[in-house]
Amino acid sequence: MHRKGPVAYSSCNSALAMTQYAIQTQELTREYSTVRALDRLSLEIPAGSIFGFLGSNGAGKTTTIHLLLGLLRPTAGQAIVLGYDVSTEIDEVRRRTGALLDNAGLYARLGVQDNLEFYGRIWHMPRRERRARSEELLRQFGLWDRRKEPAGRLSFGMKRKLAIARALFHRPDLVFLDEPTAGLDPVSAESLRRSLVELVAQEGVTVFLTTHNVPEAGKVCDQIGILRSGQLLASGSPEELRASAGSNRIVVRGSGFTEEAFTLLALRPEVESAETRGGTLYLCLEPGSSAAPIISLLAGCGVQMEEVVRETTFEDAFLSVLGAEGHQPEPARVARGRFGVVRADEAFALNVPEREGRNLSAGVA
Amino acid sequence: MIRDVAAVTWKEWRELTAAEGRESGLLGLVLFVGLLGLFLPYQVGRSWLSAPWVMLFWIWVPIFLMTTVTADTFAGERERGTLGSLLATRLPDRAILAGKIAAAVTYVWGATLLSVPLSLIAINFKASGPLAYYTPGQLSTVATLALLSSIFGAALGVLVSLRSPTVRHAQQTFSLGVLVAFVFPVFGLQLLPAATKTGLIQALVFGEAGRVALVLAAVFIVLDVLLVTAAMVRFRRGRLLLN
Repeated sequence: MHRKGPVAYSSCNSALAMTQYAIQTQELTREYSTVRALDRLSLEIPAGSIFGFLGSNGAGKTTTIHLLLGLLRPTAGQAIVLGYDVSTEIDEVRRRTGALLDNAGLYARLGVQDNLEFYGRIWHMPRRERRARSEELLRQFGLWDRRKEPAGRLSFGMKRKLAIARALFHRPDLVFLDEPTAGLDPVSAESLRRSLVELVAQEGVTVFLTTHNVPEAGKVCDQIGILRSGQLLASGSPEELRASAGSNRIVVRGSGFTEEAFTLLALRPEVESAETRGGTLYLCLEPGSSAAPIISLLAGCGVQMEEVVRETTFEDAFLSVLGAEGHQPEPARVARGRFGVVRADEAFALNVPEREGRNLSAGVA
Repeated sequence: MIRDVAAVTWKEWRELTAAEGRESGLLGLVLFVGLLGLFLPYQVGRSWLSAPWVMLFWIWVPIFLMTTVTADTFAGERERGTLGSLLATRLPDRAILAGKIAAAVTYVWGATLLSVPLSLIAINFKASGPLAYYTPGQLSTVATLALLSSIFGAALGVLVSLRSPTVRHAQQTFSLGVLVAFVFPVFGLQLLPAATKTGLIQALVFGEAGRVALVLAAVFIVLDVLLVTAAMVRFRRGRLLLN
């Protein structure tokens, strides 16, 4: 289990101190008339972790949050949040949690600071502490200069930041964030992610984050659950999910990628695509194919290989879990992706003249 | 619990008096205070202070003003997407409900009481003779009736707002309800025997104001209790979200 920092237990939270899990669900189910939005969800989320709940729209992520916050009643199953049963001790749960739901839920006519002030009053924070906390958070999210403005005048990204600040305002033990970066441009999303991670590290809060942004989950979360049609397909750390997914992408760094090598690669049935860029050959193999024969082939063509890596991005792992069909890797993304472990049996070094700017179709033609 | 109610009331007041949209809110308030505090007392003169039928105005006007204030309580939160976040907080159901009712009552009741000194100015401006003023008994009668009708209007408005998908829908439903509540007795009066009808009218016009006020207060206390209880029963977090 990876912890970002010490867990911020409130002094009255003896139940949480007794459990290492912030959230435990067992066979949690919710049905809307004929639709089963959540299907027997069983989860254990360690305290102090950032848990990402990944899934496409309608997968059941928001329903899960609503169930864990007692805003919906489960059709079946049980949920324990911070050591309290959601069905019978929901007041204790709400006392110790913060939430950013699918809608930011800011009061547009109230000032930026007043939005925080209201939540401070709800949690009975003393006046001086409210002032200090709002200044701390507004400065951290770059909103201090706009504290007097009505929240409705903020940009979309600023509203999301303010909503996150509000969710964290009373220093909850657990915070639910429902797609916090949805609809943000990449720069704002990255900035918000950074602020969030910094804050979480500082305060040791457990985060339950839903998103359909796969790279985001891979970057931010230390535990991930993948949900589809209300069913939990897989859960674990990003590394574990990547490892379990395997990879069909091979990156060969070296030189001497000749036309002959491309021609021979094109004849191999397990090779789906091949491309060279910057002295690196990117190969995509059919799922389940071994890389060893391809490496031998390249070696036979005189390719000089410095390093061979079987690579998996978190997105690959996600799609692998979902069982998506027809997913084609994008070379540009490959170059930025995270690298898995280099397998000793796939690393070779041969001496072949370098050739760049080729892809398989060009090579064959 | 009191701090929770105070927190919700604080937020509601901040929204009611927020800079944005303040102009339209103030316009309604000025019209209301102007009508009740200046125009009508000026027209009626001294009998405005003592006539039993004036009690009906102190009841009707707060309820009328509630239309715009309470429609926003839950329907507005739902429409603007703030309801889910509010319901996810630690606030107890009763505190949310009581806070919203308290904010609406204090706002409308305050505006109603503001018109009392204005009415004295209008009456004294028109009438000659000794200075016209409210006795403490008259003042407390006005304040009590206005308070009770404000609670009635707030509870009814919140109840309607709880069930309405939009503010507009809540306003329409509430207005229709108020219209029916006040028009129906007028038509019902026509169905009464002539002697009873005459007796009621005489009581309202020439009767003892204190007795009329007592009857009205008793009726509104019962109505207030019923409506607030209904609102508490109706207020359920899960149901609100599903709506």
